[in-house]
Amino acid sequence: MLLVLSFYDTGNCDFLYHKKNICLTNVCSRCIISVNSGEKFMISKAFQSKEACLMSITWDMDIEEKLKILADAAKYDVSCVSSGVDRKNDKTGMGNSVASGICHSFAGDGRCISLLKILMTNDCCYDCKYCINRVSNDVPRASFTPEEICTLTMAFYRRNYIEGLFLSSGVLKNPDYTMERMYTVLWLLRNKYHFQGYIHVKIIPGADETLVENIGFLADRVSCNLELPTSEGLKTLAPAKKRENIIKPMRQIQKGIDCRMRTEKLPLPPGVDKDVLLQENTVKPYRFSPSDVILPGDTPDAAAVVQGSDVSRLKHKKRKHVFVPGGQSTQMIIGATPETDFHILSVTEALYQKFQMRRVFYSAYVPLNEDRMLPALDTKPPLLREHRLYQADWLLRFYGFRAGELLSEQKQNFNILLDPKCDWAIGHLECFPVEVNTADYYTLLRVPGIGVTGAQRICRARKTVKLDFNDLKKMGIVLKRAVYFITCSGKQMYPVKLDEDYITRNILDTKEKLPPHLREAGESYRQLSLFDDFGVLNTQMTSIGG
Amino acid sequence: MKITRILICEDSLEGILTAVHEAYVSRYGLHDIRIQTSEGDPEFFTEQMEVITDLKAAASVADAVRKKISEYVFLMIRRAACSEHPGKAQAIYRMIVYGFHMGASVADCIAEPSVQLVTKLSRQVSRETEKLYGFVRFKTVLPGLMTADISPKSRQLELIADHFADRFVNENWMIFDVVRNMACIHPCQAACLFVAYEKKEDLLPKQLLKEDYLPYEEDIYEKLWVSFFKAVTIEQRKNPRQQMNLMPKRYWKHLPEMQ
Repeated sequence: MLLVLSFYDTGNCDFLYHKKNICLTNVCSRCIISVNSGEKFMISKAFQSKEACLMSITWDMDIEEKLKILADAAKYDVSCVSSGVDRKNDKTGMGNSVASGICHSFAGDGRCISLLKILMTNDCCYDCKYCINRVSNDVPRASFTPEEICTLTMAFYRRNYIEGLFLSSGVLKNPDYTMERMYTVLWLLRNKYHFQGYIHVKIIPGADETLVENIGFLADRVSCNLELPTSEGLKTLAPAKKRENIIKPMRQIQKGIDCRMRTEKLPLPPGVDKDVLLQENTVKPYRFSPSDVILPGDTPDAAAVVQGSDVSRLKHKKRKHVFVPGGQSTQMIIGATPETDFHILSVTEALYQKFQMRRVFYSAYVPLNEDRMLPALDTKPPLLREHRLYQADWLLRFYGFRAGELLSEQKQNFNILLDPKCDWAIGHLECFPVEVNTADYYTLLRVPGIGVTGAQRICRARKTVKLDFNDLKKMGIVLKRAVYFITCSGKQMYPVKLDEDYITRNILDTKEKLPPHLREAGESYRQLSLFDDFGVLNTQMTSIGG
Repeated sequence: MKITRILICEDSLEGILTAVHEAYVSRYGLHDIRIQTSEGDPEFFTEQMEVITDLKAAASVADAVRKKISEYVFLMIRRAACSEHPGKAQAIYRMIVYGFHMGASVADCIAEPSVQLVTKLSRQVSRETEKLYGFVRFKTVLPGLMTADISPKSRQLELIADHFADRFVNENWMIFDVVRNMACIHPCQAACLFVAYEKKEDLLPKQLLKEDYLPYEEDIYEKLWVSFFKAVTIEQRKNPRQQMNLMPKRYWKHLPEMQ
């Protein structure tokens, strides 16, 4: 946030505040004295209106500094996937999109970097308790201009650093104003820079419907964050956001996806000159021909080079706009409010079924702000819980599980020691063992150690050959898990008992990658159950003795 | 006993397919022929024959594979041919022979060792191709010309070229395989060329070379990218092991953010 102090006489105030994000304005002489969060002082500036001046100040900031601030502020958004859209380049611009998505780098936290994930501005008028950018926080503020975002995206894309843009924003003034500026960015990228790569854009809850619709025709994926699983949570932690304002655009997008074409032109964003489209085509790109290239030995086959026409002469095809081809996603914060896993998973299931979400993301709450409503600052983010939720999320989407099967009112949270599928299988031993050579695809999917690829491979391979355990090993089935639950031609690999305790103990013995403190818990589980065994033995002995 | 004939062919898809063609045309007996891409140790009871690559013959085999077996199997073979495995040519040959008997279902014959090997190699190669889609990093060496270096385990240029030619259709770019001294050259809006080189400078356009050739000046966007990369990491979730798993160290030398 930028604090603005107005003085009639500034005197030596700037000494006091020069490390803060403060702007001293001298109202008498209508000039700004100093600004910025670093030790750098800005040149004094005359201004017409205070607002115009503040705008220009943030724009004066070094682009690297802005990028740091706005990337840092955007990193808590989880989604960084570039998947769901297959689009070839139409030869008039730059970029394409691959349905499977491409990861371009991996950050130090192991998360994939696929999109240039930035906020347009972190200047936010809301005061959501959990958010680093809330209005009451004293953090350095910055804003990108639409042109800056476009140049940055194009430059990064050209160097193959990114798959596209992920644009989110703090709420500047009001939702409509913010969305309008985001629309400008997307419109320029698509129409002026002819960018055909991937764009993911956040919907600001409460923005106008036409804006949401127009932006949907420019983006590949849109998302509107649910933020917290329940409306009570939202009320306490994000008082400015309303549940119905979040649900409304979700519903609108879902309906829009059903009737997705549009051939009429999208409206020109405010403040953009129509001539923008005429100017850029006059620049003729430099093209080297293969004859420029000195080849050691032989000369290239001239016929192999197709002579393309100059870009300047290429007429831009009338593009059909498709509404949100990559579908929509959303995200929830885990661990800031007391909801149980069952609650969260039920909400997730409803989102998939009722809103046809492509993805629901979970974000383990990282404490950033001190607040009595929130977990303490030294709380570790619940990463394992987040991991278990993602595992369950996959089970819902690809394995044909329902939320009610994995958890229930009696069992509200996931077993931290076992993954949800294993946990389910051990609780439902009556469904096992499964005969690999005859079981149908969805039954195979329910076996721990057999995933989607594994089940598909089994289904294909058993057409030509009767499978044995050796074949399964070659196909990449995780036998150390699957071995308890399957038979090949009626035989088990080893004589194993179908017994809850026995299987749990053995599976935990394989030392699944658990954090150290839990690994101990896993061992104590085993010790405990040994104790139980011992207890059983004891009673038997006494009964024998008696 | 019949002497086994070993066909030595060029290490490329065309070379291997020419050898397959030769194996059929010679009528020596499909089981008495082996195909290798390099001369191995001399063996008893074998004779070696060199096969000179013939694009027409290779194309006829490629067409037959695509029509009589399947496009999918052809893709598998194309990928497997890019790997560095010494037994790839023989495995491809055996798989094609089986494929002409069985048709498309040959891809599911996991019990057959040659099919197993081709599947494995194809998977390995395509995994690397997918990684490279993301990890190729272009630099501006001259105004209007981008270059990138890669050092993959298998021959990847011909596999990644289509993707980048589509994506950067209006750009001049070159990708250098610095391990094999091969380059893929893409002039703006034209088809890709594949050439071998000795020195990279030899390939750069000469009239530009005369003017102001900058052996690569510091790029402001590269600096910005590195600072972006640093800024997106969430410190509380730091996990270098996962980062290394997903982005193996052998790619690092060409990634500006990992320097």
